[in-house]
Amino acid sequence: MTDLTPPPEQPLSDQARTRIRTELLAQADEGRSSAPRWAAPLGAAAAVALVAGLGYWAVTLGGDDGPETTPALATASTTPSAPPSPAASTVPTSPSAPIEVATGTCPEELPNVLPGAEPALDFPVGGDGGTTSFFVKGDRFVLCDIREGTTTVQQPMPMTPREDATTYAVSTLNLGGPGHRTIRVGGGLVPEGFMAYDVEYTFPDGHTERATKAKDDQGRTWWRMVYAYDGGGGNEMDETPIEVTVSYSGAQHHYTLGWGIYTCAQANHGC
Amino acid sequence: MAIGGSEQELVDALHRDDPAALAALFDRHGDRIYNHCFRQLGNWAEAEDATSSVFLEVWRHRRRVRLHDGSALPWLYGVATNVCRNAGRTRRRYLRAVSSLPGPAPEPDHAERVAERLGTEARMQAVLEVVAALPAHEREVLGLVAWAGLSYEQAAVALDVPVGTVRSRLSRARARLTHLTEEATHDD
Repeated sequence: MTDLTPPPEQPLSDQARTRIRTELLAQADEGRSSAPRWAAPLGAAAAVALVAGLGYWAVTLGGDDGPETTPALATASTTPSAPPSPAASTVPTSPSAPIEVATGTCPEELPNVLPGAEPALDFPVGGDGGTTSFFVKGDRFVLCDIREGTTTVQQPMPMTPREDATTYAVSTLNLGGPGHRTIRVGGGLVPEGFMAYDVEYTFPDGHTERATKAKDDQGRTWWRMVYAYDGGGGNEMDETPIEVTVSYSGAQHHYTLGWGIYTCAQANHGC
Repeated sequence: MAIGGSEQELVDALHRDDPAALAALFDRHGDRIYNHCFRQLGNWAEAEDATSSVFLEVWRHRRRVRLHDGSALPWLYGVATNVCRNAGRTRRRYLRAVSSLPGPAPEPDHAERVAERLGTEARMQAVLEVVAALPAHEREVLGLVAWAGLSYEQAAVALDVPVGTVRSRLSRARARLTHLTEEATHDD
């Protein structure tokens, strides 16, 4: 054995990415506040995260079977000295049970993302029965979308949109199935004073979806884009990124939504 | 919290206890950490679990996250190296303990994917068997510089050692490996 070249790199599978992301968000939320968070829907995810997180550290306690140096950086202070018990000597495994998340109503999910937010607008129900609503609190808003039995609450966004890709980030709902159905949702507030403001998303399948607009009771105009397509089940990192074209004030602005960075805008479940 | 913000913005958000920053950091660097863990553990499933642990550790120590040349990646590699080192120790103990027991049934998956994963795992484990002859600190430098592609400076940040130490460890590792492979060739 003289070839010391490791095998080519592989990306995390979408399933693993979603699982880890969900665990991280649940654990981070758990660690940030002792108050009850995420209520019933995310309870299962938090429990999984606790098992995976605490269980993992329980089985990696101390012990040393080699001449390794003292751990540096973060884990130096997190490695207890007690040896593991025989019962705990198991290799950490992935939680195999499906994680049930985000099935509550928007008002049930919202307190975990933007507490105290008030409803601003409900978009008309679409052909697939999905609903999109916007909620506002102070200088921030959230988009809440219910589709295919899943409630997606996006990250809070400023009422004054930033001129960058963050404003057009989409949430992702992977439905699986034979075609690996994927639903992307984006939305936001049309800046005050803009008469013509058009947002178009072009997806890897070549389709361009134009955002629809609606006014709320206070005269504010909101835009919303929903598009469902067959993702194919491959590694989306290898696909052409989603392109966004925003037209206003007689000019066009183009944004590329990097996978993961701008395609996982949800705050209450994984991608 | 700007999901698409700069790494500095992400770290600032982490310091403000913003979970979205952790998710964004995972989105950006999860794959690289996953592969780094695989190259230490030789097992994709364990690398997955280790990747999750790495980012949970990042959250636990979020106020200690630091940037090197505007990137948190070297620091993340440091955490990953430690997490996977511990995971490797646990695994070795586990394998010793259960070596007489039948292995678990493989999870249902596509046959080609399973075969590919097993193939890459076997190849990586063969590589790890060879480099197991190196002291751990030399293995870690080899993993960061030769396999993960970090610069000497980035590896120094990851391992919290001076750059000169990285250079000398890598040099010794290469010399040892050359010697080992020459011996193997001679034995054949």
